[in-house]
Amino acid sequence: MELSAIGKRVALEDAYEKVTGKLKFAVDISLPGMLHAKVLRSPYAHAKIVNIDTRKAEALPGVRAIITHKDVPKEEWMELWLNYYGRVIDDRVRFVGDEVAAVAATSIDVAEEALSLIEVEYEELPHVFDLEEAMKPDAPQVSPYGNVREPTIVEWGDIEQGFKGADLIVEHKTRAGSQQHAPVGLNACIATWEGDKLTIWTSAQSVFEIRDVMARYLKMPMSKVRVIGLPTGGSFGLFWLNNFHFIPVFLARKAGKPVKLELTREEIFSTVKRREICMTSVKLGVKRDGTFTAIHMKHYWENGAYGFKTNPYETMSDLWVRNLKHGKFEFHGVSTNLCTAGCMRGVGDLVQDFCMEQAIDKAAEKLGMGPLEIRLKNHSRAGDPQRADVPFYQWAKLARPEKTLSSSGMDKCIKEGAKAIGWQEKWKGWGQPTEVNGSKRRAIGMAVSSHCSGQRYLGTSSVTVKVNQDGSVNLFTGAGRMGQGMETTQAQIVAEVLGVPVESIKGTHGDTEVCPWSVATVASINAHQTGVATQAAAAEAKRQVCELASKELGAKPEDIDIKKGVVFVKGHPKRSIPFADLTAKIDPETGTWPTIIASASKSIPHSPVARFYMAHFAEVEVDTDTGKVKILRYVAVHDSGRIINPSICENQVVSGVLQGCGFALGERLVFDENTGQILNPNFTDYKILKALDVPDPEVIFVEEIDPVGTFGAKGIGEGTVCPCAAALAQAIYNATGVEFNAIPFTPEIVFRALRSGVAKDADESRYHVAYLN
Amino acid sequence: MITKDLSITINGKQYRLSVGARTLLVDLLRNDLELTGTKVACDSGSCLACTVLVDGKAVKSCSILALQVDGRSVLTIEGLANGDKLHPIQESFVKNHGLACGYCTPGVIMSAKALLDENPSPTEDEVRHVISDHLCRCGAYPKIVKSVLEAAEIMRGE
Repeated sequence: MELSAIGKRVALEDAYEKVTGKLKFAVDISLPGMLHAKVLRSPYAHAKIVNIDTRKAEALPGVRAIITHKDVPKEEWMELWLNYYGRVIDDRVRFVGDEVAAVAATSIDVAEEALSLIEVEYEELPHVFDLEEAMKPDAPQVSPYGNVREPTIVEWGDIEQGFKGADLIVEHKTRAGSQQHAPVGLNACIATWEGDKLTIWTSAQSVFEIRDVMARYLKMPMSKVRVIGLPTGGSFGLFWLNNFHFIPVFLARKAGKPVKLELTREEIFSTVKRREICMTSVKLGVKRDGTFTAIHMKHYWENGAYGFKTNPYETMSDLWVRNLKHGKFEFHGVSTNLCTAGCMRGVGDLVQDFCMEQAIDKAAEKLGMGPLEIRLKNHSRAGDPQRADVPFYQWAKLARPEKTLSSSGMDKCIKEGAKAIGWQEKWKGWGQPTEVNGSKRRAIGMAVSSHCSGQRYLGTSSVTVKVNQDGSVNLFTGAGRMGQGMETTQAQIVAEVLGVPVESIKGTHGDTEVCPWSVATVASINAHQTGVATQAAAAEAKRQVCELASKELGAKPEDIDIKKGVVFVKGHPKRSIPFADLTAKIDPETGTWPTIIASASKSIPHSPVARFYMAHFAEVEVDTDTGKVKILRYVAVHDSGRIINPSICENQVVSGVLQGCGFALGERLVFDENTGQILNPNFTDYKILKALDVPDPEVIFVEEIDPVGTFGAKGIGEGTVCPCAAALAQAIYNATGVEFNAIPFTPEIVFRALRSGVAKDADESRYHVAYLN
Repeated sequence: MITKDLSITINGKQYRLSVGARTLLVDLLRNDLELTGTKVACDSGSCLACTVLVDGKAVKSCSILALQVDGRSVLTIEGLANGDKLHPIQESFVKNHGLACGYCTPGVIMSAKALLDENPSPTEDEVRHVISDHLCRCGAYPKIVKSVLEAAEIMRGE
C-alpha cells in the first residue's frame, strides 16, 4: 500500500503553540472573578471527624465559601475503572492527606490562612498499611465494604492436570514498591456555574468520563455539564477523573463564582494517585523441551484508601498461551490506609510481567536453555485464544464470543533485538558476566512483554470531520491531549483517507460540548481503536466530496479518487479539479457552498483482539563496590503494528524506557512507618531518570501489520514501561549471580544483597516503610 | 504588603511595575503579566521548567525575586520568536520532535538559547549536560539534544 501521510514524521499539530509558550494548560487558565481554592488535609492515617468548626475561617475577609463533609452528597462516587470509590469529603479520613474541608477565597494566601482557622476534632482509629496485614480478618477495615475485594479470575483447563504433565515445576515470587506518575505538569481544575449549567476546565486524559460521572453524581443532564479538556503536561494515568475535581465544583456552586483548584507538587505526589504496591507469585509447569504446560499466577495489590480495583487490566494471561492448555490467573485487590493507588502506565502488566519473566528464566536455567529459546517456543501467535477480558463480560453479564489474537510480531522483536545488541557474542550463560574488570561486572539481559491496544468493551468512540469551503478540514474527537501526539496521528489518518495535505487539518479534541463522545484516552487506545472511527468519518467525508465531484467531472462517484489535494477520475488523471476549488463552488440551486460534514461511530471488532509486543535488551555494568547499576546500552524492539508517526512513537518508547528503568533502579515512594505519610513528595527526593542517566535507547519497530487496527496500527504508549525491570534484573543476575525479585533495586539494595552473598528473597523487602529504616 | 516600584525590560518592552517585596519573578510573569508560557512544576527549584533569561543568562524564575531583576532585561519564551517567525531553536524543536507534552519545552528552549548564545558550537556532551538539568517525564531527551545541535548548525549558518 502506498501511503502519503501515514508512516511520515509529521511535526506535532500543536508544536507551534508548544514552542512559543502559547499552549494553555489548566494551570494557565484564569477566569474573570475567579476564586482560589485550598484543601485542608488529614494529619491522621485513619480517624473519625467528631466535630468541625469553620466559623473563624468564614469570618476571615476574602473567604467566599467553605465546604466540609456536611456540604457534599452522602452518596459515594465511583471512577469508571475503580480508581476511586468513596464520598467527595467524608466524616472519616482514611489516609494522611485525605480531604477534610476546602476553602475558596480571593487569593491563595487568604485561602491558606483560612485553612489554619478551621478547627477539627478527630477521633483516631486503628490503621493498616501493609498489604498482607490488611487481608487478615481482624485488620482495621479501611473501606466500608471491607478491605478485601472478590478476586478476579481468568481460568481455563485444569492447572493440576497441567502441572502433572510437567517435567519441571518452578515457583517464583516478586514484589514491587510504589511508583509515582510524576508528570511535569500540575493538576488543576476550574469550575464555574452559569445558572444550572456547569463548566469545568481541566487538564485531562479522560474528558468524557469526567463529564459523564460528574453529571450522574450531580444528578444533572449531561447536556448541562461541559468539560473542556485541556492538555495535561504528561499524565501516565494521573490526569483522570480524581476526587479533587469535585472540590471546586461544590465550592463554585456555594460561592457563586468560578473557583480554581491547583494542586501543589507535594499534593500531586501524596494525595491523588500512585502505582500500587504488590506481590505476585507464579507457578510454572514446563516440559523438558521448554514447552509450558500450566501457569498459576496469583497477584495481590493494595489500592490505598479509595482505590477499588478488582481487575488489573492485564494481558499476561494471554501472552504465553501457544501451548498452554491450563492456566489460572488470580487478582486480589486490597484496601489500606495509604494514599489512593490506581492505574499508572503499564498497569497490571509491568509488575506481573516482572514475576512471569523471572519464573521463565528460572525454568530455562534449570533446563539448560537460553532466555531467547524458551520465549520463542511459547509466546502467543496470531490465532491463539485470548481470555483476559472474560471477567468483564461475566461482570456485565454479556455473551462473550471466542476471541483470538490478531497478530504477533514477538518472534521478530526477539530476533531483531538479539541481533542489535550482539546477543550471540555477549551471552555467556546464566549468571555469567560478559566481562569482569575489578569491581565492575558487565552482562546482558532481556525480557519481553505485551499490553492491550484499547479495549472494545470500553465503548465506541465517535469522530466528526468537517470540510470547509476553502478546502480546509476540522477534525473533532473527544480524546484527551496528554502529549502522546494523538492530535497529529489522527490528522494523519484523515489526510491519508481524504487525500488532502495533513497541514490542512485542524483538530479540536476533548471539549464535551462540541466534540462527539470518545472513550477516555487510556489503554493505548487512540491509534488502534479511536483511529477506526476517524478513518470511517474521513471515508464518509470523502464519499461526500466524490459525490460532489461526480457532476463536475462527469463520472460516477465510485470512479473518483482524491490524492494530494486533487480530485480526479481514476485512470484519467487529467479529468481533475483541485480539492479546494471543488469545495468552493457555489451550488447554483441553493446559492451556497456545499456542506460536507461526516461523523462515524465505530470500534474494533470483538475478535480478533490486538496486543502489542516488545522485547527489551539491556547491557549493564554493576559496580560491586558501590551497588551502582549503570546501563551501557538499551535496545527496545516493538511490534505496534504499522507506525503512523515514527518520531512520536520513538518518543513514546524512550519515555517508557526511562520510566520503566527508573522504577527498576530507584523510583519509589517512601511511606512513614507510623503515619503512612509519603516522605518524598517532590522531585528533589524522588528522582526520575534524565538525559545523563541512561544512554539514548535504541528503538526498533518491526511493524507487523495488524489486520484490525487503523492502517494496521496497534497501541504503543502505555506498555513501553513493562519489560524494563525484568530485562535489567536478568542482566544484573548474569553480571553478579544475584537475583533481584523486588522492585526497585537501588544501589543500597544491590550493595547489601551482594555483601550478604545470597539472592534477595522478595519476602524480606517491605516497601510500605522506608527500606533502610 | 510592602511593594516596590521596579523598572524591568521584558521581551524588549519596558515595564514600570509596583511589585510585592516577596513576589517571585515567575509569579510576576505568570500572574501579573499573564505570560503563562513560563511554567511552574516542582515547587522546589529542581525541574527548570520556569527557566527564563535575565541579561542573557538562564535563571530559574521560581528562585529569584522580582526585586532582583530591577533595571535588568528578561527574556521569556513569548519573546523568542520574531513576530510569527520562529527562532531557529524553536523551528528545530518543531521539526525534530524535541518535545512531546510541551510542558517542559519553554524552559528547555530558553536554556538552549542561553547555551547557544554563549557557545555557538557546543559538543553533544555539552548539550546533554545542560538539557539533563531539565525534567522531561516524556523522555524526549534524545530528540531535544538533536534539536539543539541542529539549531546550532543553522544559527552558525552551516
